[in-house]
Amino acid sequence: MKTLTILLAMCSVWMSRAQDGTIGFDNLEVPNTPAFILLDEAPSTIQRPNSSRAFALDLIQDITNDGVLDNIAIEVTPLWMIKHTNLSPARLYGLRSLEGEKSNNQNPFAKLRQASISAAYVKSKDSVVNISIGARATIFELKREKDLADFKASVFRTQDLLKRKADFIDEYMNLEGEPDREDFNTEEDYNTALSAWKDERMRFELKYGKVVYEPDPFDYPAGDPQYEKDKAEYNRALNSYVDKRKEDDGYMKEYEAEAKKFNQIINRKPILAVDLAVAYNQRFYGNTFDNNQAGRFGVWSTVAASTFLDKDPDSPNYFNLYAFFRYLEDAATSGVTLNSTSDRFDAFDLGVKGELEFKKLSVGYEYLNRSGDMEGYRSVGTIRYQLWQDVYLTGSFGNNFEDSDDLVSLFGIKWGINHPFQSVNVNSADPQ
Amino acid sequence: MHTYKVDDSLKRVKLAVRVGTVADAFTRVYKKNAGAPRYKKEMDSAKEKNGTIDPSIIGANTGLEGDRVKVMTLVDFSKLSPDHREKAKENLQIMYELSGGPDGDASFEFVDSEVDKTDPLSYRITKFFKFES
Repeated sequence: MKTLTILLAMCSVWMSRAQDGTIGFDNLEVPNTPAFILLDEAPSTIQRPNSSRAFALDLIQDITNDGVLDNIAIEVTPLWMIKHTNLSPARLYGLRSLEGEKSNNQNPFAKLRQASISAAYVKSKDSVVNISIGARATIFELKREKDLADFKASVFRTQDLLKRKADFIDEYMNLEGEPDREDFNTEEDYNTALSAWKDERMRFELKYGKVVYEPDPFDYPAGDPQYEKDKAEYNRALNSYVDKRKEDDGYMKEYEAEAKKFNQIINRKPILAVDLAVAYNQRFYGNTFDNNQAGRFGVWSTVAASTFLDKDPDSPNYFNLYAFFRYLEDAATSGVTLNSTSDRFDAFDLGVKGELEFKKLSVGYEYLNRSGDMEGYRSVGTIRYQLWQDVYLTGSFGNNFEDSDDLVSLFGIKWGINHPFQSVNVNSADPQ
Repeated sequence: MHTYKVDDSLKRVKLAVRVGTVADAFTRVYKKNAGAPRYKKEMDSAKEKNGTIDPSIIGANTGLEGDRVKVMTLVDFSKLSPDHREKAKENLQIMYELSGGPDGDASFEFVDSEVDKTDPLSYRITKFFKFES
């Protein structure tokens, strides 16, 4: 039954993708929210937040136990919720301006705008409920000069396409009306011009449909409903004309090719990026609200360097090298009674990770050394395979800090949900 | 549609259009002189400006009475992911600013009825202004 439910959930995601059929701004992987990473519940501790979804639901479920949505995180990027007067595709990408020769001066702090906040719910096997909140941002990002130049060229090509669309609209708008008798000296001249105009209009309307002239709101009394009717009729006729002109002109082919090219450019990984995250969690025992205490607080940073595995800049194959720093303070005790034993610790993690990233598959190894009140290490191999755009199969195997129960053997499905029609009903399990 | 007051001075009236969006945008301004049969193209936004037009002269106060201006902005959301596209539509901001008339600066925003949303991947926003004494 559980397998069937998972398959149905996968199908629902796949179907919503299939219905969409559009090119995304960001062919992104599902993010691991800081709120998850704080609790060591993420398949990989060292990774970059490649996503800036307006709203993301991050579920980690493995397929060995039962339980419903035991690990769930929600991440929100405020940038997408607020109106900005100065925002443009270039500014979002990381260019200060597209003007002049020095237009390729990048703004390495542009991604700060896409800072996100998250909250997570994790229920462990001993009925301890963890509620976490977190925030993260890419505080520095250095892009290749070629990527910046390619981006600018793509934006300009899109501007040319929009200008061409405006020209199609003008063609329709400027269609000559019936000749005016007063413009002609003789009746014969007028009749000749009128006949030519009628022939041309008939040919035009046979191809593009009936001509409707644009209504001007100043020619109607205020609030006249006829204006809205005439405008709707004009919009229908104009859009039909523009669509046919685009078809005749080969516009759509160029438009789709440009969108694909743009998508490839913006998905190229930067040479260097520095991410910063902070998270805090509160623990609740025995399903009782009052039995709670401070859990973990963490602040961490990832420095990522990426290089192409081959010379094609549009290849999604990379070698990624990460350096990782984390300060972790765990204030929890085992239980909330007088006899509770203290598990408090401060820890300082320092780690590195190497990762080979191919189109759908990535394989990596991460090593973290923990010092401070607790000493230990996390040595984990990770593998991730993209099933669909928002669905990943993830696996981790290795040692996870503790002296005992230190085996990380996590195999599961990771979902990223950002479509209004997507829904998930998964009967699944704890990741550990 | 809005009206903007002009007088008989030689002071120049300027129009600015400020577009704030993560989608691609392009703006074209048309002008129709009083009594003329149709609008004629006046200016386009620059490639680098993503639909924004810096303050530009429309004409002197004295010659503008009865003239009309139409501002058409095309916004293309197709490069955005479905999630970002919907947010970009909600957060699209266009400010139309007129200055130089006897009443000074005036700014306007577009309203929903001025947007043609027929194409789910693009908007066409058309704003009309008339100069009156």
